[in-house]
Amino acid sequence: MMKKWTLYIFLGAALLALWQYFGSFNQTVRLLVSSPTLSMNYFVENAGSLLHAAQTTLIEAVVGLIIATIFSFAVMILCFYKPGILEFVLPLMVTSQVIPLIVLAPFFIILMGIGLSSKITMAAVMCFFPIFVNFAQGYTTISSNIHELLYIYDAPLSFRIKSVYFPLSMGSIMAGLKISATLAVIGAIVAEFNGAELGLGKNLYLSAKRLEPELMISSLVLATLIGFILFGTIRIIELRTGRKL
Amino acid sequence: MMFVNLDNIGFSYTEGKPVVSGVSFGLKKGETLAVVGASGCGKSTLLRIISGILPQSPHNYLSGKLTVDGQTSDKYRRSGKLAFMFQEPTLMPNLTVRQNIAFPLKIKGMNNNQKVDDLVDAVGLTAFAGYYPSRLSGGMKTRVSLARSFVTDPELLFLDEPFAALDIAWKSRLYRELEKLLEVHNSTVIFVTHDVQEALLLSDDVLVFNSGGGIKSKYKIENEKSISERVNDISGYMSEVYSEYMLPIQDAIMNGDDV
Repeated sequence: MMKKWTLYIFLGAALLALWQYFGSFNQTVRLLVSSPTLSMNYFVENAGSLLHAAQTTLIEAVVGLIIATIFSFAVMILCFYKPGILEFVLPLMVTSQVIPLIVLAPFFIILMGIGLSSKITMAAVMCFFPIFVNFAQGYTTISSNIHELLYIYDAPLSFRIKSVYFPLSMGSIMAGLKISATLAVIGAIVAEFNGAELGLGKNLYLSAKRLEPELMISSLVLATLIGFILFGTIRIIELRTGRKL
Repeated sequence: MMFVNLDNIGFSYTEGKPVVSGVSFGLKKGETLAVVGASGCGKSTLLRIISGILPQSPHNYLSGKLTVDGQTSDKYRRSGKLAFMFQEPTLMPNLTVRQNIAFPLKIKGMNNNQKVDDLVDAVGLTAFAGYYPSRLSGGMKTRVSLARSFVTDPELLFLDEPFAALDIAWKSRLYRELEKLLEVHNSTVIFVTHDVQEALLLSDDVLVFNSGGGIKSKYKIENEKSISERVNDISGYMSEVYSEYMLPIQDAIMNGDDV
């Protein structure tokens, strides 16, 4: 285990050293990806505005993820009450995953303007499908014997949903949430590309326009950090809820 | 009066292709009936019909007359007086041994700690009461499932090959545990098995199904020995019943396609 981590640290350090070397002595590399020290200096000088942009993107991604989670749970609960809906909707949802939903970003900007709501909506749309489809697939894999057991004891639907369907689908729900955690950040950033007052997406867009690789690297690191925070939070929740399974 | 009464019961998932056909028999309270037959002959379907699980779908076809305690099987199921033990233990993975045994009570919004503790103890799992199913052996899971079946004091118990995956040592132990529980609860039992020896060890009557889902033959086991007496001297008991029951039942199963 220790050896593995040592190798990771060594590889990371080697990459940074190579990046620093080429960024310092090669103008093309410097123009494309800057260098670690220049990026770090840029980050320190502009920490306030960069962190503010990251905070905006984080809020958009988190709110989008929460809305998508609530909405997919609500649709799934509706499907439990009317099973015919799930049979009809699930194949459509699975098929819909091939649509690159990111193309909807300009539509939401036109519809809602360049404020937070269009980015939150984009993030929520990106997250909804994986959460819903995973939940539905988790539910459909519950053994028929469990369903028969509940039928034998005449379990009320509210009991089934709360005490059986949710707990037994939790693994799939968490898998969907983990996929969505990354998608929420992508959704928010892509929506920001299309027009925003603030955010890491806007920074990335400007970095290309202004040829500012330090801004790009700083924004990229912060976006990665947001992805890690969301993914890590869901992983912690998963470990806590799934510890006994 | 018969407690369970089937009169010319037929069932099919597709019209004209019966899974169960022309099944008639009666069962008195407290009796144990074994249903044996080749794979796919409709034994498990019969259990699901009597227990009211089938027909759940309007696409199924059920014919004949079936009553349990003078009521339709569905009405009887709703009374909460039956239990079903599946071939797989069918435990909730997120619940402990104790919680799994108490699960039917939880469904009904009831709480009876003493009864649950007694059942945990009856199946010898007191030391494992806080364990989750992932930490239990196959035999332990079956014992949890067995205990769960008795937590609602069922009048009528269905066993769908619950011991099929266990070795003879575990089976013998569970037969004794089943007998103890039946003595306390005096349940009527209908169980499905492939194992003729198991049928002869546990039941008062044996019903042999043919491959068309009908009754090939029926045997009343005239033997006064209790389950534990039969299990404790298994070779002696099997030689007692060998020529009169074991051979004819095996013969009937092997020639089960003679509809």
